[in-house]
Amino acid sequence: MSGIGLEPDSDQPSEPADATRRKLLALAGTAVALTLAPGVTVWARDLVARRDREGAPRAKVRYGLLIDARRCHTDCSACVRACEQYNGLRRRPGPDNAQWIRKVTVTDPQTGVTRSFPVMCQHCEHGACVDVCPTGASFRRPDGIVLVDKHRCIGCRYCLMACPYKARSFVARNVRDQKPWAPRGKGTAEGCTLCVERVVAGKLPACVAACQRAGHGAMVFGNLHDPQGALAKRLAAVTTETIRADLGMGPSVHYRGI
Amino acid sequence: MAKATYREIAGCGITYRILLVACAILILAGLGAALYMRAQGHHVSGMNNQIVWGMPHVVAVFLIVAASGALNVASIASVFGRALYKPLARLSGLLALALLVGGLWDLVLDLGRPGHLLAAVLYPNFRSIFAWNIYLYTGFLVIVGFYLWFMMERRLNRYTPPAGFVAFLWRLVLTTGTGSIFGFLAARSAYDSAVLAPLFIVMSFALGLAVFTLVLIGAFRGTARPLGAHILGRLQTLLVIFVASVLYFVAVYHLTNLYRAGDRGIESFVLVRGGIFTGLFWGVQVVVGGVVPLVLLLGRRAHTSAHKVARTLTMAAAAVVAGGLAQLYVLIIGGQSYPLQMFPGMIVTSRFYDGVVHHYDPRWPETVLALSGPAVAALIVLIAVRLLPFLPTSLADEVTRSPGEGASSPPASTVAPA
Amino acid sequence: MHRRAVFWAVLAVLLSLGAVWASHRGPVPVPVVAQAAGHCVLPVAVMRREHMMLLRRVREAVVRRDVHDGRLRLTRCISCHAQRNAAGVALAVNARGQFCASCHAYVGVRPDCFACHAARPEGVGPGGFGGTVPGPLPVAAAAVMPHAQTAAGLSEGGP
Repeated sequence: MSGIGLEPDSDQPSEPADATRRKLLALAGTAVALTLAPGVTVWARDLVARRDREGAPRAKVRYGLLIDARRCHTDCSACVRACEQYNGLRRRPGPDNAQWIRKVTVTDPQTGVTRSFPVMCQHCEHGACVDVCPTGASFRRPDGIVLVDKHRCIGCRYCLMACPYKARSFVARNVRDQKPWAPRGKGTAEGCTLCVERVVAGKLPACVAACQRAGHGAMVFGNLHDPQGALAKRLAAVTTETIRADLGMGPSVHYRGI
Repeated sequence: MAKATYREIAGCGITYRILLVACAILILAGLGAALYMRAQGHHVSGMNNQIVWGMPHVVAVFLIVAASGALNVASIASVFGRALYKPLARLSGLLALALLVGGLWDLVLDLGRPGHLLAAVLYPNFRSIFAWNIYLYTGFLVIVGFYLWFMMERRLNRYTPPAGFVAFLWRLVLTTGTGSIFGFLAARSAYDSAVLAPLFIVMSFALGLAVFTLVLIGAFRGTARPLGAHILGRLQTLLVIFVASVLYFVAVYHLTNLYRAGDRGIESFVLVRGGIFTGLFWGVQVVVGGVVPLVLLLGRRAHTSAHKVARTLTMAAAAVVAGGLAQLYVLIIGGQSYPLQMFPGMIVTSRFYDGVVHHYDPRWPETVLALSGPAVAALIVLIAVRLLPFLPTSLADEVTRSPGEGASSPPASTVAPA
Repeated sequence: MHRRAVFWAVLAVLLSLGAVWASHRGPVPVPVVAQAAGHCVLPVAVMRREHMMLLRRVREAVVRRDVHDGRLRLTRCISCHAQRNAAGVALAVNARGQFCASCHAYVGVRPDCFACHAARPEGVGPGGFGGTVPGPLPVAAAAVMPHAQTAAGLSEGGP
């Protein structure tokens, strides 16, 4: 061999220079345009359709939650149990267990202060799960609730990879005897639905109701965009924060005292 | 330089048949494993809600990255006009197609609902890099298909350079897309880095060339066609540059993470206390996949016999492949194993494995499925080289060396196994 | 040459055996579809021909756009069409011989709905879920939330 180095071959150049190059560029341009064309078309169509559909820049309704970690009891998990019971989730401890809502305990290593509170889908305004989903199965409804449209889900689990809150689960087993209001099936992603069918019927999500019933009242549900609503008033009165606000996803679930 | 001639392989040998049957068995086993996972649900695999992507994804990403890299040899010939590589271009294109199909086989069969894949075509979400990749992958298959056709049909030969150019651009975008699958995931400390896209591109150069070299040497050995030291030396040079570039980008990736205080957790996990991942990183990715090939390839200087060059190159390429697999395992599995930083700096516990390092324990269904991807690629290559003239009849030094160059070079020696 | 003849002969024999096996039980009998009480939301002929398109359109509207048409809901179809056994327990509509399965088996089409959806009603009245007029509460929900029956406004959620 002729040593290490990238010395050019002494062969004569195999193409005429200028005309071919121009042709190459034209071809490359065509190829790029052809690739982009379907995407741009669909995107533009979506933009138009969205403007038609939404009209106003700000939706009237954006459902959200306020979770007060000061009122949440460390050893209470009424919200988790209510969610499991209402949505027909089987309790099966293990890494492939479905967990739409879970109690998380956070300890500050400096001060030793411990807080305990539930974490579920944060129903983000710009959720990573919605962005990464190749089929749009993961989507945000006009009322701000983020759902998995299982008719479209192909089970790629990209949303599980993308969610910073670990709020998505993958159904890894055959499911039987689902609740009629909570469809879930093997091979699809799932997560907290904010009990959408209860909410649109004017009821509280199961977890919030259970928290009230347990007498803690640590969870407030309501419409973030209604200034007269209980949730907005409460948010105006107390200091709250969202988890991983640095990611800029705009969660609808606010926390107090974490 | 003599005009290269190509010929189908005879395909009667016992080795060829054994390979064919072995690939077919592996593919059927993989299909069976996929059906089993589909019927039972993914709980029969080692993948779960903590380790979301496993073995099939490691192998699939390897194959897809190697696919775009395998096309490089053809690109060097038709885009950069190096006539030396021209006889290799057909095999290069074929390998690119085969590896990509093998990778997609793994990816698609691992889906929760592969039967619903059509949804990705009917309702594409173009904010998702996955949706783009569907077009990038199918587009790659079409473009490389045309490229091969133009190369192999004498009357269309003049369209080869433009087709090669388009294919070259396309493969760069494709690998960027593959790297961005991970690079766009801001939630996970290991992935949130723009360096991943260029890192994947240089990885594709190295892995693609390594796989190409292995297939080339294997095919020429198996068919007893002469393979000269001249062309092997060139491949050797390229491999050195690519392996060194991968090491450079890996260093940049880890140094940027180390510099950012927030990412020191994941770095100390991968580099120091990550158990199997630390071992794989230093032992296989860096030493076997980086240092060993460099030492092997740089240690052998010029004027060696083709036999020795081929042996060294085979060992080095195999080491690069092993290193690449380890690198993807550390990145994909290790990146998920490290806990999500929901509350940076805090100690987090829950009943759902928050704040703990997740263990991945690959089980047979996904491992068999993962292995069937390379088998698909191999089967495609085996059948294609038998049906169509992909392989040049000779790459001896007399054939590959251009007339003006011969005088100053050592005497030609070729591999001509019995 | 000889090999090829053998191949074609074997293929021909296999094909004819397959044809015999496929037809030995005669034509598949037209299924008896269980009748539900009362009237369907649309004429039967329309439903038979177009229920899949209707369901597809409705699922887009209800799931993705929060547009409600109280009449066409899969849950509502199921609560009407599910048969009950002697003990009054609802049977799954996709069970053998039941409403969905009987026809779909006859035409050889596998409905994908029940991969995720419940195939039997559970405490759901004919009103179904999500309509503006809520039906009777499901048992589980009532247990969880005693005051939910009031269906009060959302501001109820305040502390």
